[in-house]
Amino acid sequence: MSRYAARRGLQFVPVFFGTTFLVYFLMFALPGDPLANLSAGKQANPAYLAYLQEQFNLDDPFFIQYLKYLGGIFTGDLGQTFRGQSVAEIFVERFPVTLKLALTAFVFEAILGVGIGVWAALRKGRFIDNLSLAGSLILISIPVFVLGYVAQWVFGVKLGWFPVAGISDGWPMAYILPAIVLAALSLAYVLRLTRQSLLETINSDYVRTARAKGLPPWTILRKYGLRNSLIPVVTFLGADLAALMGGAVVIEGIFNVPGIGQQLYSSIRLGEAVVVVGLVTALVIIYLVVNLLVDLLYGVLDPRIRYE
Amino acid sequence: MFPKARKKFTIGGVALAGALLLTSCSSSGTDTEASSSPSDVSGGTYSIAIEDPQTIVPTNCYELYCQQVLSATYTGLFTFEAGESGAYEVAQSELTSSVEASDEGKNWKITLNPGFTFTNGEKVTASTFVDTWNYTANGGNGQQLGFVFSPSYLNVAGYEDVSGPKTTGEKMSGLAVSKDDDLTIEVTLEKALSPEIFQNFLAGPQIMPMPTAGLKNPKAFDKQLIGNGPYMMAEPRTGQEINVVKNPDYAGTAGLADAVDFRVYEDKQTMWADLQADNLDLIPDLPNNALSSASEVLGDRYVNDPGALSYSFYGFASDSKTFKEKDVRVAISKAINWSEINEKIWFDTRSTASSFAPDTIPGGGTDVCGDKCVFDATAAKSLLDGAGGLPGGSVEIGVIASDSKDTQTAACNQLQTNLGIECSLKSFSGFGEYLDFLASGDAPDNFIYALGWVADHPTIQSMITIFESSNFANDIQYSNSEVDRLIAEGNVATDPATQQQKWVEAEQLILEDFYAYPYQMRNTVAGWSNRIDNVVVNPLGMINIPKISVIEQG
Repeated sequence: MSRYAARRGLQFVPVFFGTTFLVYFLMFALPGDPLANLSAGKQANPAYLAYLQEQFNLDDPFFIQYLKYLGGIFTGDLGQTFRGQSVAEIFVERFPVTLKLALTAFVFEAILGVGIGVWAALRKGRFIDNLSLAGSLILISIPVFVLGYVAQWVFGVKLGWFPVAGISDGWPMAYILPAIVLAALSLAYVLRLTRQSLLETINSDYVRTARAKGLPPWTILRKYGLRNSLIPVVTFLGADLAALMGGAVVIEGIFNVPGIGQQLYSSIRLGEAVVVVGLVTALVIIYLVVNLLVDLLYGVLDPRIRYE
Repeated sequence: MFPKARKKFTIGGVALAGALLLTSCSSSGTDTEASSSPSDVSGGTYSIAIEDPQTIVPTNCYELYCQQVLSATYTGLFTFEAGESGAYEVAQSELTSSVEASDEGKNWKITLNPGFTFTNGEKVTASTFVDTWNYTANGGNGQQLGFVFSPSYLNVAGYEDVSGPKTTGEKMSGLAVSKDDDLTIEVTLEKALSPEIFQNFLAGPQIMPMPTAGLKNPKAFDKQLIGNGPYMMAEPRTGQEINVVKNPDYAGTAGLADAVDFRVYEDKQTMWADLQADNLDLIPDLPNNALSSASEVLGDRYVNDPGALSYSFYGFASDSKTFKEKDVRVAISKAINWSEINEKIWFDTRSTASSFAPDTIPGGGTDVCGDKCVFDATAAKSLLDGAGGLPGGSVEIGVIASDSKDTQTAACNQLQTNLGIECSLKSFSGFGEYLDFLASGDAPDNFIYALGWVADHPTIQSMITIFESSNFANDIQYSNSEVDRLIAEGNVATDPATQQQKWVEAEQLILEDFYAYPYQMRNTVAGWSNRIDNVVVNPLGMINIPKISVIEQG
C-alpha cells in the first residue's frame, strides 16, 4: 500500500508543472494590460508603471516570465500581488476560511445527502422518495448564483435568521447559509447516488439471504446494505470536497466570504498571474491528495480491494 | 463594539428533501425610530461599505476606496469644502496655518499648525512632508502618486532628477524645510501656478504625510497605517475589514463616532442586501441592483444628487473619415435620447450633460454645449442628410461589457432608428483590454470612443484636462493648441473669475470642435441605515466620516 501511495505521489510532479504552465499561459493570454486596470482610467504615472513592469517581469516574453516564476517558487518565493501582499501570506490568511466553508458544506452534503438517500431508498415509491427526487431535481436545475441570491434575500434580508454577508459572526452562524447553498448541488447528487446504489444492493441475493436468516433489519442495512453501496458515494464525496474548495468562487463573492475563491476572482480580474497560478496550483494539489486518500479508503470499505 | 441587532434563531432540526427547515424565529426588536435628529451625538460605531482597496499606503492610493480610509486616518494640507454657492472649493485643513506665494506663484511657503502628531508619537513637521514627497516622487519606489510632482501637475523643481527608474537623486531641489521654522515647507516650482490650482493639486486624501516608520517599511504600513487623523487603526487590516477607532491624541476636531468599520465587499450587489438587513450602515456609491428601489426602501436616508465629478463621453478620432463632417458628429449627438436612457436604465441616477463641468464646481454648470447636446430626432436626421449622409453607413461603439452594455445597446438602437444607419457594439472584457485596443491603433474608422472621466479635484481644469494634447489619457488624440493655451493660462491666473473664464472658453472650444462631447453626468448616489445621521457625500464620492453621528447605539 505504501508503494502504491508513493507511486501516486510521483504523479503530482507532472501535474504540478502542467498546472502552473497552463494557468500561467492562460493568464498571460488574457487580453489587456493588467496595469491599465490598476489606475482605472486615470492618468497613470509612467514611473509607477515602469516600476511595476520591472517588479513583475511584465516586459519579458512568456517563457522567461514563467521560468522566473518557477525559479521564485523553488527559492520559496511564491510571488506577490500588485499591492505587495505575498501569495504565501494570502494563502495562510484565506485558506482556513475556505476550508471551514468547504467542510461545513461537506458535512451538510454528506449527512443530508446520505441520510435522505437511504431514507428514500427504504421507502421506495412512497411520498418521501418522490419528494426527495423532485427536490433534488429542482436543486440540480437551479444555477448556484440564483440559489445564492435568493437564499441571501429570503433568509438573510427578509427573515434575518442568518447574517447576509461576511464572516464577522464567526463559525458556525456566518458559514451556515453559504455552506448550504454551496452544498446544494452536490447534495442532490449524493442523495440520488446513495438511493440508487442502496436500491441495487438491497435487492441483491446476499441481502435476501441475510433477511431469510432472520437478521434484524438495522444490522442488514448497516453490515450488508450500506457498506457495499457506499463506495461510489465515497468516491463522489472525496472528489467533491476538493471541488467545493475550488468551486466557492461564486458563493464567496455573493456572501462576501474572504476565502481563496474571492481572491481568485479579484486576481483574475486584475490579471495578477502569479497569484492565480499559486492558488490554483494549491487547489489542484489538495484535490490530488484528497483523491489519494479516498482511494486508500476503499480498502477499508471493501477488503477485497488490493493496492498494487 | 456594540452588539448587532439581529434576529435570533434556533435549528428545529427537520430535514426535508435537502432543505433545512428553520423554526423558532424571534425578533429582538430594536427597530425603534430615532425620535429627534441629534446630529452631534458622539459615541457608537458604524460601518461603511468599500470595495477591496489595492493598497492603503497614502503615497500609493489613487482610488476612492483607499481614499475613504485615508480621509478618516489622516489630516492633509487641504480639503474640499462646500462654499456659499454650493460648489465645492479647496480649503485649508486644520493642519495648515498659512499658504503664501511669491514670485507670482513659483515659490510657495506652507506653514503648519503645531501640535499634530502621528499616533506613534512622531511630530508632523515640514520635514515630514518634504520626506514623504521625495519618497513619493522617487521612481525607484514606484509610488502611484508620484505624478503629482510631475511637469503636467505641480512641476516641482528637480522632479526629473528623482523620477526615472534609473535616476539616483534622492531629493527634489524644489522642496525644503524653512531655515527659521521647522513647520514651514518651501516649494519651488518650475512654472508658476495659481493658488487655486496649487492647493487643489495638494488637496484631498491624495497627499497625506507619512511618518518615518511608514517610509522605511511600507509593507507593514499597508497592513496597519500610522496616521495623524481623527481616527487610527488600532489593529491590522484583514481581508475583510479595516477598523479604525478614535485617535485620543488628535489635535484637530475629533470625530463624533467612537469607531468606524470599513467593510470590504468583493461583490457590490451584496452591499445592498447587507444594508437592507441592517448589518451595514453606509454605502457611499449604491450598486446598480439597488438603483430601482433605493428611494422607496430608504426614504430620506438616500441621496441622489446630480453633480458628481464624473462624466461619460463619446469621442471621435480626429483623423476619421467617417466623422470628418462636424454635422455628422452633431447628428449622432442629437439622435440619442439620453434623458430616456437615464430614466429607464439608470432610474434617474445619472443626468444628461450640457457641459463637462457640473455646478458643484466653481464656475461650472453653464450650458456650454447648447443645442448640440439636445435630443431632436428630426433635426438630427436632417443634419445628417444635409452633410450627405454617413460615409460607410455604419458606426461601431466601444463598450466594456460588464459596465454599460445596456446603455450602449439602447444608444445604438436609437442611432439605427433615428438616423437610419447601422450601429454595432464592440465589447471588451475590461478596461485593460479596451485601453490596449485604443492604443493599438486598430480601431476602425467608424469607431465611436465611449469613455468616462473622473476628476481629481473640483475644478473645471480637472474635468477637461483629458483633452489637452499632452494628456496621457487623451485616447482620441484630440489636439487644439488654443485649448491647451487656454487651460495653461487658467492654471496661472490668480484671479478666480479670470481663471474660470479661461477654462470655460477652453470647454467652449472643445465643444465647438465637437470631437468629444459629454452625454451623461454621474450623480452622487448614496444610502444609509437609520442608525446614523448627518451623512454628506461630496461630488468626488468622499464621505464626511468624522462628522457622522450614530443616533441609535444598540
